[in-house]
This record gives sequence, structure tokens and C-alpha cells, in this order.
Amino acid sequence: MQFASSIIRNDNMHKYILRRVLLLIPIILGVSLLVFVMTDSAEGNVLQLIGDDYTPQQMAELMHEYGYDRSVLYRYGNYMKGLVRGNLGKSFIYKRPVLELYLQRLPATLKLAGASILVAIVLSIPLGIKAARSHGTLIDNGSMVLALLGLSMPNYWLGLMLAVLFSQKLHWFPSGGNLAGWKSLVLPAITLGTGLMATMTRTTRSSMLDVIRQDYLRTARAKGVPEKVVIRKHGLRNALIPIITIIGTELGKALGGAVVTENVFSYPGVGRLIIEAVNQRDTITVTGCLIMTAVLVAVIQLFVDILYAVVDPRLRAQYTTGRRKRGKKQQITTQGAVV
Amino acid sequence: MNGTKQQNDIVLSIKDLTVHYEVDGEVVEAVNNLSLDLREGKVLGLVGETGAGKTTTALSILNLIPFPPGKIKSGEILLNGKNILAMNIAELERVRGKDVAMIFQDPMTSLNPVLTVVDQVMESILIHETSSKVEARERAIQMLETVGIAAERADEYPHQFSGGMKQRVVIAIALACNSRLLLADEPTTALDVTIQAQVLDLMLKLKEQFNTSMIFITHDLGVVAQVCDEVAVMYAGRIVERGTLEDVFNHTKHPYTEGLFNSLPSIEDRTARLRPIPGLMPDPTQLPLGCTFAPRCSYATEACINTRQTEIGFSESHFALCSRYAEKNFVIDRKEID
Amino acid sequence: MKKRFLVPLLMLFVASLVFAGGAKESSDASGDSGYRDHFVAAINTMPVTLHPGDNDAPIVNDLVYDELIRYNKVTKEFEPSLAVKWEWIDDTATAFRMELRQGVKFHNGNPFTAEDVEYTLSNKGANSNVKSAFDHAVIIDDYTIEVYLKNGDADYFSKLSNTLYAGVLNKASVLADPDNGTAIGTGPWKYDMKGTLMGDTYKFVRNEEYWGKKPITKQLTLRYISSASSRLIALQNDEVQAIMEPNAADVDKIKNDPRLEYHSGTGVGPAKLYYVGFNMINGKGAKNIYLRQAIARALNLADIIATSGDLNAVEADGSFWGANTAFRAPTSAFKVDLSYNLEEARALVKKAEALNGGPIGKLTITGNTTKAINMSMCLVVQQACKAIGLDVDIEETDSAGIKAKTDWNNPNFDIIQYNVPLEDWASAVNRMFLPFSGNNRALLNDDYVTNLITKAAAITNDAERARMYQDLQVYIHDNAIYVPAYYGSRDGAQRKGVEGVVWSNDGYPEFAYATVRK
Repeated sequence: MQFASSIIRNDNMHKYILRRVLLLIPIILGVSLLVFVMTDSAEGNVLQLIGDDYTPQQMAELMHEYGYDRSVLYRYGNYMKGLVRGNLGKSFIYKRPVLELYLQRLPATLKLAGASILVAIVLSIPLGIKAARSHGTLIDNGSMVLALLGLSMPNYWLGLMLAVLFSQKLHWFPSGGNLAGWKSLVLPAITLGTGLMATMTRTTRSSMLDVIRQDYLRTARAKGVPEKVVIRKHGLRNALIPIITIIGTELGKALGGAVVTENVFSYPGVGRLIIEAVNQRDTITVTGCLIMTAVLVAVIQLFVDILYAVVDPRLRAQYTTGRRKRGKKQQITTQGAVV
Repeated sequence: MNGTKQQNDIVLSIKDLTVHYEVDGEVVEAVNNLSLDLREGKVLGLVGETGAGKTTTALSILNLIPFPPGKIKSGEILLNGKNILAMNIAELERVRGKDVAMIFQDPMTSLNPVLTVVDQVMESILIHETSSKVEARERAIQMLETVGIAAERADEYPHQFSGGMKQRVVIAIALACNSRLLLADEPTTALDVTIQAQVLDLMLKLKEQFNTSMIFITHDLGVVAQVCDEVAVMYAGRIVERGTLEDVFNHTKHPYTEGLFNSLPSIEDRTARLRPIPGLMPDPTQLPLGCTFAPRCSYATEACINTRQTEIGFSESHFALCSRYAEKNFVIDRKEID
Repeated sequence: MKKRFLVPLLMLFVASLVFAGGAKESSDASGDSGYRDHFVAAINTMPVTLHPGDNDAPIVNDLVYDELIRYNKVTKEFEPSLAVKWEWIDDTATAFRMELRQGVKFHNGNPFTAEDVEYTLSNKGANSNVKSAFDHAVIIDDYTIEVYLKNGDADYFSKLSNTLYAGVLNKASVLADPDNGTAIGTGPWKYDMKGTLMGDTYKFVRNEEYWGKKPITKQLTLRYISSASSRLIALQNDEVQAIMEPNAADVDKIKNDPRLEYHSGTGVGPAKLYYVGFNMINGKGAKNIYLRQAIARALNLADIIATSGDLNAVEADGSFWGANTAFRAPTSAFKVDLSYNLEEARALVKKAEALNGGPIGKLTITGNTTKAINMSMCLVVQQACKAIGLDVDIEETDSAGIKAKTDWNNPNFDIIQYNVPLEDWASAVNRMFLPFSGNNRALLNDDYVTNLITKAAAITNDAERARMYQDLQVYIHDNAIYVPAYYGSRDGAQRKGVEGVVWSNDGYPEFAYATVRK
């Protein structure tokens, strides 16, 4: 991995990463403002919800304490005052710090996101390759239909169907929760993964189609490279480059919290936390969780972009100065090959 | 290899090759009953306009015609005595790159952008020879230096090289295993003239060093004159004239070949008008039974259009596909030079 | 060379996210008894906090905390719990003395004393049903306490029997740790915070030092599974041994499954009353008694029950008191007949229009329409009104939205469709009529009603109280402030071999003594 490490050590790369990290600030500002204002303006506020039995005077005191007698921007201002100090606030409902709640749920969501991407990759890449190689035939069109099917099936229905078949009838996997280790992941991951499949299959297919047409495959064949190796080493290696970006995007989507799937399988991820908080008008929790999600997604995108550079040598010039050993340039000219 | 010394001398022998492309219900007759022989150490120039079927012929030798839509209808291609067209995939993969190698036309797209150049040269060696990675790498670097690429640049990627350097890499890849036969499909067409000269020089040097036989595909008669020992002129999928360099250049027989020479601008008479061959190549889906060049030929007669053409011999090496030479005393305008 | 590793490395990274450990379920193998060590139940309503007074449902409270006085839902009797003796020390139900049980320890070992009772009942501990009445307490000694209320409340002891209202907290623990100290109780179960994920899974271990009857099961887990279908699948798989509220459509399937049992909560504990109420502050029915009565007479309660999907619902008889409460007025006491009669209803509409000085105009009805049972009731009301010439719009919202619409300062509806659990004590219904009470969805602020309630609450003489409550019920009924529709039932299902689960009609089952045979 000498090139990977050389890239990471490179100064230009450091500057690039710094720029991307600084970009997080406007992202956080934007997300927090948008989410806060939207949740806050939904009918009903959290104090009304939990304040069933407060006297009007106590209620008025509470409203004043939390700023519900002022405008939404005032409350937002209070929230931001805490945010800049790194404090995501305390949930009204759970009475615990939002950050703690989020971090409690994050590992489960990460596992689910990772597993669904895995499922999607395992299903879509071979399918996309097959479709590209059998371009125009029944197999090609069939695979596109299959991919589309994965996208169109509502997660709620698919999840339940999987649970009925594999959990209830066959007893292979638990029907919900996160208590059985990796087995708890399988059904939710398949449910989520088939939805991610559509985009990835299409991208694999079009990327592969593009690559198949390339002359360097013909060069490889003319060298006597076995067909399997041609497809894998020469074809796939190039075709995978745009797919990496897609994987990054889809991973971001999955991390946002697959609410419906988590609901069906009562899987304790971030998505469920957010939806319960929305139902209870727990603005602070919703905003905090979505900010964290946005940051996580941005970090993953950054990672994917760097990976992109590592995998595609043509992009490296963007990030590195392309330093070569000194004196090389002179050596070439003295050999007479000016080109 | 088995066979007599005579047979060993013939590296490539194409007999009656016919290749069609079936596209949208129509049949493109790309190569029609083509035959040629190539001896060891000789360079054959395959000349013709775009669409004449030169690349198709070369790809057939590797049996790399894309299967839909292309189809090799008939013929035999004997490489070192064995029929390429009868081989299975495993045998073909052994032969490609080892017994016969090809240099493709466009260096910009012929190299894999995500592999280093030394990797791509090494790949041939590792497939065909039993060497360790270290040995293969050394040989690859040597090959690269032979074509003029410094060892320090071996681990760089294709996009870091200019067009001419890329072509050198392509050549290095092709020659990595010292193939007996090299097919060069317009290797200098994409390069500018000064680079062209260097690359041609290189190829000649390599030919001498390794005694490689070559088929040099080009539409540039000047290049043919520099590099080739023998010439075959193609038109509409057929070889219309073939012979030694001397034969075809100084004793031109076929009207088409004459037309090619005529369309070259004269360096002596700079103000003279250009004399292109009138008309266009025929539609390859509707080739006539008779002479395919007849519609454009200034010497054509009724008989030419209807008569199926057969080769007429002028010497041991020199043949042309023109039925008018059956008549006594038929000559074309171009003067013979002795 | 290096590139070869990139793709598998990427896969490995993604895969590592997946395999980063996973908790294993604790084993079920127990040594001696024929019962499993671990019992798991699936619930559909989530306790949100670790503070008993802030929760909406007592399912968890019942496990972790004890009440001062225990009310047995089955026998309908009071039993001593943390208090062994209690009596009024005056005759206006304003002050009482309690003797407390000795030798009880909280989960963290702290001793239970009168100090904790004072702390719980005061502003710090309980639900406002209890703390709003509390004025001050006098601690006589560690196990004797006198409590003084702001106003007379003859049913105060009943309120103390609800762990939702008055689960006993440990003052020292809460002061030491305000966030987590409230999780310490005296009950038969202790929180297992390691296995608990708020909002998802609640794990408990048996309190080995419990002063009362110790549960047989050693570990208890409550899993929040909001989808009824998922709950059923989990039950069929034995991933859970009991579930709350299966889909009405699945009840037959459960009954036919030899591994499962269906249980209805009918008859045990208070039922939830489904009703229609009118906005008495600024709704169209506020000043128009004929409009309210018209709508009351237009409702066919059988229809409402039929569309509810509740198999064990019981039609209300017009009395607004809880089905099981004492001092319920007989329907013969009512002066106005508000039974179903479309003809009479239309006549009342005419009277309403006359009173209004013109046609009534569009009415809005609101309810927690995210639940189908509420939505269907709203639709029936809408249809009924249409039949008598009234135009009603349904304003859909969720539970949080309802709270906003019924805000005392800014109400925004004409008719409300809602439900309320009515405990068994006589004055349980009061909070539907007291101004500024959260359960007073009609926003009623009527001096006559308020005075009557306050007076009746302080009276300990049953006969006198009965008379006053009777007058109250007649008043509420005849004025059609609320129209009761039906008493709903709640149910559950469990696996064969499960014992000890109390399925209650208020939808809050008791799992403290649940067992399952191995």
C-alpha cells in the first residue's frame, strides 16, 4: 500500500482533508436550522405532551424555562449556544443527554448499514456484470427488472414476509431485536439491502458496459490473458471505480436510519430513536441525532473520495504534487527520447 | 516444430479467409477469399484505404473477431503450421501474445489506466513463461529500456506518458515474449511525423535484433517503402496486388495501386493538381460478382464488371487481381522503373 | 499488487461493522425448579424515563417500585404494601396517618423510611394526581408519618395505590444522582441497566432482598415491539413468552394455535372509556346545549363498537361514571333522554339552529387518528352528523397534536374523540371535569361542577357522597358535555405453560410474577 500511504502523508492531501472538514461547519448549521425549525413548528410541543398534569402555573413556568413562550428562533439560539460548546442538549423525554442516546444506538445502526451494503454488493455486482456481458439479451433486461423489483418492494411488507418465512416457519433467524448476535442482522439487512440493490446494479452494469467496450480489454486478450482474468483484472478493476462512489452514497442513506425496517424488526437503531422523538415532539433529540447523522455521512463521503483517489491513479495528481526522484527529468532527455 | 525446413520458413499462411459481419440483418462482407503467406524474418506491408478489411484480417489471425456480429465464414490460418481457426480457447490463449503479438492502432486507449506500465508488460511474461515475479519484472524493465523508457519510470501509470511513449509501451508489451510474428495495425498513424520516424526506427531495430516477422498494416505508402520487404494491396476485402516491394512499387500492375500512387502529392511538382481516385469504396453489403474496383477504374470494360476475378501472375512473387491482363498487351499508364 | 487488496479490504471494513460483537441471550437452563430463569414479554407502549412519575404507563413501574397501598385488581381489595396501616385523622379527608413497613430496603441497600414517603408524595416524587393535593407532612418517626392535603380527597388512598402516581422513591438516591437515582425502588425487580436500552429493551433482575413475595423467574425482559404482527411472530417463535394486544384479525389464529393462549382483560381492572366531547370554551357546542344533545342522540353506539374491531367492548349506558366505580348513578336518575333516535336528533338540530340564529356551519372533530380505532370512530360520528344535517370535518393528528389542539389557552376544535382509563375509585372521573386538568378534554370550567366535586371529595360519609355524585352525573349527562360510547377492552396472548401474568382491561398487564414452564 505504498501509494496509499504516500497519498495520505502528502501535504496536498492534508490540505484537502482540512478543507473538507471545515465544510462540515456550514453543513451542521444548515441541518440544525432546518430540522429544528421544522420539528418545532409541528403541531404540539413536547411540554404539552408530558405536561398532562401540571397546573397552569407550573406549565407557564416550564414554558418560560424552555423558551416556549418565545419564538422558534429564540429557542434555536439557545440550542446553538449549547451546540457550539459541543453540547447536544438533553432529551426532554428520556431526560438523558442526546449524545449518549445517539451513541448507544449508533453501533446497531452501523452494523445494519454495513450488513445491508454487504448484501447489496453481493447481489448487485455479479448481477450487474452478468447484465453487461449479456447486453441486450433476456438476462440483461431480466436483471434490470429484478433490481427494480428490489427497489419497489415496500420494506414493511418485505420485512414481514421474510420474518414469516425465515423466522416463523423455518426458525432460522429471530424475528426482531438485536439479541442474537449476527443472526439478528440477516433479515433486516436483506430487507434494506434489496432496496439499495437497484442503484448499485444499474451502476455496475453501465460502468461495466462502458469498460467492456474499451480497447485495453482487447489488448489484454491479444496478450493471451485468460478471459476470466480479462474480465476481473482489466474489466472489473476499472468498472468498480464509479461503484465505490455509489457505495458511499448508499452507505450514507442506510446510516440515516432505516426507520421502517427498524420498526418491523424492532431493531434498536438510530432510525427508531428519531421517529419516536418526532412523535413526542422531542425537538432536541431529533435535531441532535440528525446533526450527528449528517456529520457521519459527510465523513464517509470524505473517506470514499480519498479511496477513489487511491484506487484510480489518474486522480492522484489532484491530490499529490506527483513528486518524483530528483534528476529523473534530466536523465530522460540525455537518453535521447524526448517524448 | 514439425515439418520440413521449407515449411518452417513460412511463419503464417492464410488460405481463403472469408469474414462477415452480420449487423441489423445485413451482411457486411469484410474479407473475401483472402490468401497470403509470410516467411520468417520478412515484413509484409498490408496497404489499403479505411474499410478495406486490413484490421479484420489481422484480428482473424488472433481469432479475436468479436463474435456477434463477426463471423469467420471459411478459411484456414496456419501459424507455424497449426490452424488458428481450429484451436480451442485454451490453445488460443497460449498462442496469443507468445507466438503472435499485436500492436493496436490507438495507444491512448490501448493501455489499462489503473495498472503500471511494468505490470502490463510483466503480465505477458508471467502468462507465457515460467519465471518468478522478480525475473519477469527484470525482463519487463529491460524491454521497456529497449524501447526507450527509463527504468525509473517503470512504475508509472499510462496517463503519465505522452502518446509516443505510450506507443512504445504497447510495443514493449507486444514484444515481451519475443513472438515470431508481430502484427502492427497502423502503429504510427496516431503519432506525429517526428515521433513516427523514431518508432519506425525502433521497429526496424527490433526486427533485426529478434528476427521477428511482421505484418505492417498502413495506408501510408511512404512508411511501406521504409519498412517493408513485401507488399499486399487490399481493396474491398480482397488482395488486389501483391509482391515484393520492388515489384509493387516499380512494376505496379493493378489500376487501384496505380491510383494510390497517383494520389500522393508530388514533392517535385508542388503546383500540380492532386489526382484522387474518383468515387467511393463499394457498399460492403452489396459487393458485385465481378471486379469490385471496376466502377472507379479508368480501364474498366463490360467484361470486368461481370467476370469473376482470378489472380494473374507476373513473376514468382508478383500477382494482381485484374482480368484485363488476360488480354495481350494491356498496360496501365504508370511507368515501370527498373 | 496493492490494488488487488483494495476491494477485499473494503469488503472487510464493511463486514467488520457487522461482526463487531453481539450480545448473546443469557441461557435459560435453570437448576432445580421446573421454570425457566428468563421471561421475555413484548409490549407496545414504551416507558420513556427512569422516573415513575413521568411515565404514561405503569407496566415498568409495577416491577421496580412499590406503592404504599396495594389495590388488587382481581379481588378489588386494598392490601398493605409499604404502608401497613392507614387512617384519616380528621373527618374532612384532609389529613391521615400512616404506619410504614419496617425492614424494607431499596435496591441499593438504603433503608426505607418515612423520609422517603414525604419525598415521594411531595413535589419531587409522584405524578401530579398525587402531588397536587399534597400540602405538607409531619414525620413522627422513621415508620410513622402524618400527611396533610391541601383539599379533602376521600379517594386519596386509591391514588396512592397506583405506582404510576406514587411509586416510592428513595430520597437519598435521587438527591445523589438526579438522573439515575429515580431508577432505585423497593420492588420485586431491579433495573439491569447494562441490558437496558431506553426506548427498546428493558431488562430486570430479581430483587433477592425483596420484602414481599419473591418472583420465581430470575430475569425479566420487556421488549418494545410496536408492530402487532411482529409481536405475534416473536411469540410463535418463543422469542417472547407473552405479548400485549395482538391484531384483532389474528385472534382466531391464536385461539387455534395449540402452543398459544388468548387472554382478554375484561373484568380485571378499569376499562378505557371511549367518548366524544365538546369544546366548552369556544367550540360551536359550547353555548348550544341543543347542538350537543342532537349529536348525542345521533350516535348509534352499536355502530361505533362494530367498527372499532374490539371484540369485547361494552356499550356505555349513558352514565358518565366509570364502569366499575362506586356511586354510579342508575340511568333512571337522568332527566333527559339521550338515547339513539335520529328523528329526535333532527328536531334538536332545529332547536340548535334557532338558538344559534341560523345554520350551524362546519364542525371539526379531532382525535388521535394515527390509530385506526380512533379514526373509525371519528368516521362514524361524521356519518351520524351527516344523517341529521350537520357537516363535520375530521382533523387528523397524532397524540402530540391532540395536546396542542386541546390547549386551555388556545383550543382549536369543536368535537373531540378520545379515551380515558377510569380507575375503580369513586372520584376517578373527576379529572375529566376539573378545570386545567390534562384529562379534561372538553375544557369544562363550570363552577357548579367544580364546587360539587371539591365538596364531595372531602366527604368521608358514603351516603352523602353518593348523593352528591349522583347529582353530578345527572348534570353532566343531561348537558351532554361528554357522550360516552363504549368501554374498550384490552387483551394479550401468551404461550402455553405461562402463568402469573395479570391481563388487565386498562391495557397495562402485570408481569411481576410471570413464569413459564421449561
